Order: sequence, then structure tokens, then C-alpha cells
Amino acid sequence: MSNWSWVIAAYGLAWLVLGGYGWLVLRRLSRAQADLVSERNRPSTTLELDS
Amino acid sequence: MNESTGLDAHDATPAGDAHRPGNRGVRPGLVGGMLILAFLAAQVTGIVISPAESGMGHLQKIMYVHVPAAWSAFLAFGLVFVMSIAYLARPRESSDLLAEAAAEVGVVLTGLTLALGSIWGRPTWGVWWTWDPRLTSTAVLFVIFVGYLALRSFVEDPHQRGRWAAAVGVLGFLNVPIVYMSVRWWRTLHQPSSSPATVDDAYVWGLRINAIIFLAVMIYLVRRRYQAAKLEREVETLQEERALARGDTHV
Repeated sequence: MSNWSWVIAAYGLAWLVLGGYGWLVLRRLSRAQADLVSERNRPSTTLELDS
Repeated sequence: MNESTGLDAHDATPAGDAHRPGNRGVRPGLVGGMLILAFLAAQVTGIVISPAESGMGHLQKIMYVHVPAAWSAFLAFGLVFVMSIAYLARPRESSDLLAEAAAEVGVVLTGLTLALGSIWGRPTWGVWWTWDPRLTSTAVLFVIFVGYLALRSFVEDPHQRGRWAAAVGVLGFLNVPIVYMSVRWWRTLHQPSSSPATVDDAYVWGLRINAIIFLAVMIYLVRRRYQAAKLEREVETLQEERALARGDTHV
């Protein structure tokens, strides 16, 4: 491999790792926000009707 | 935007399908988008402005990602140390969650540092890995904080988890100065620590710019990870309160 190939591999890996982890963190944040909103809007009691 | 929870104003509206988990897209936001551009610009700047090094040629350019990743990891573990001390002194959820977020980001950055070091080592030393003091102490640091995260996932009681994790966080950080000083204390294949004082002027600016951007990325990731953890804890609390109100014995 030429020197440039190693450099490209290193920079590519940095983008892959940081980009991948960043995406996972943002997805987790997005899901947590959605969960919180849906939890806050859930009715506090469940009414059951006798048939 | 709510600073503590990371919720945008529109998130407070009644839930609909758009708010269900997995239905919203992942958006880095304005700050995230700017960081991506700055990250790219810093790397291009480092590559373009620095001449080929006399011994390593263009391989030297790996320094602009390897060294800042290591520095940022050290700072992330420094944050774990500070937050762990704070938690032990006064147990607060925010200290515990911030320590957790910083530890996770630190582990990712340390793993990246090790992998980038291998990519640099293969063409320069002829091996992917050697049990050199700098490499070994860095690997130990990585394993300690992987253990820290594993410990957190095993312990259910939040207070016990916080105390144990804080103890490991403090002890784990003690390895950071050992990693840093390893190239001075022992005979090593690894070159001396790179810094503006030891690096030639032609390479200093590339290193500085990339170090600043890596630091900014680290802070951004820790902040977002902390916000996610805080929201998850809030959801758990709401679910527990609801279960208690229903009279469930198992929460």
C-alpha cells in the first residue's frame, strides 16, 4: 500500500467511527424525546367498561 | 430548546405517530452540521498545508486524527474523574449521567486512537501491534472504561451503580497520566508525545486546528449523550410513578 492509502484508511476510519457513533447517539436522543412525549401524553388512568 | 432535556418546543405538543420511537429522523441540528463541516475543513487544512515529513512522508498526516483523538479521550476521562468525585462528594443524578456520557465518548475515542495507531504502526514499524508501554497502557485504559460501562449495565440500583461507577471512574482516570508519561518513563518504540512544543512549525497549525475540532466534537457528543440519558431517566421515572399509581408491586 502506498503512504496515501494508509492516510485515506485512517481518515476514513475516523469518519466512520465518529460519524457512526454520533448517529447512534442522535438516534437514541430522538427516541428518548419521542418516548418522553408519548409518556407525558398517556392517560393517567385506564377505564374499563363492564359489558 | 430546553437545555436540560434537549427537547425542542414542538416536542411538547400532543403525541401522534410522528412522535413514536423510530418515526423521527436523526438530525444533527445546526451545531452538529457546522461541526461536520468544520471537521472536514480542519482535516483538509491539515493535509494541504503540511509538507511530507522527511522520515515518514505523508504518513505523518495520520497525526492530525490520531493525536487529537487521544487528547480528546484523555479530556473525556478527565470529565469522568471530576464528575465521579462530585458524585462521591454529593450524589446527584446529573453528575452520574454526565460521567457515564463522558466515559462512553472516551471509550469510543480511545478505541479510535488505538485503531489509528495500528494503521500508522503497520507501515512505519512493520507491525499492527506491539506490547510497547504506550500502546499497552492505552489498551489498559480502554479496557478499564469498557469495564466501567459494563459495571453500569450490571447494577440496577441507581445509587449503588452511581457509587461503584464513580469509584471505578476515579481509579480508572489514574491511568491517564501513566499513558501520557509512559514514553518518558520507559524505553518505548512510540515517539515522544506530540505537542506544539515538540512538533515542527510546519505541522503545528494542522495539529492545533484538528485538536480544537476534535475537542468540539467530543463536547458535542458528550452533551447529546447526556441529554439522551437524562430523558431516558425521566421516562423511567414517569413509568414508575404510573405503575405505583396503578398499584403494581413490581415496577
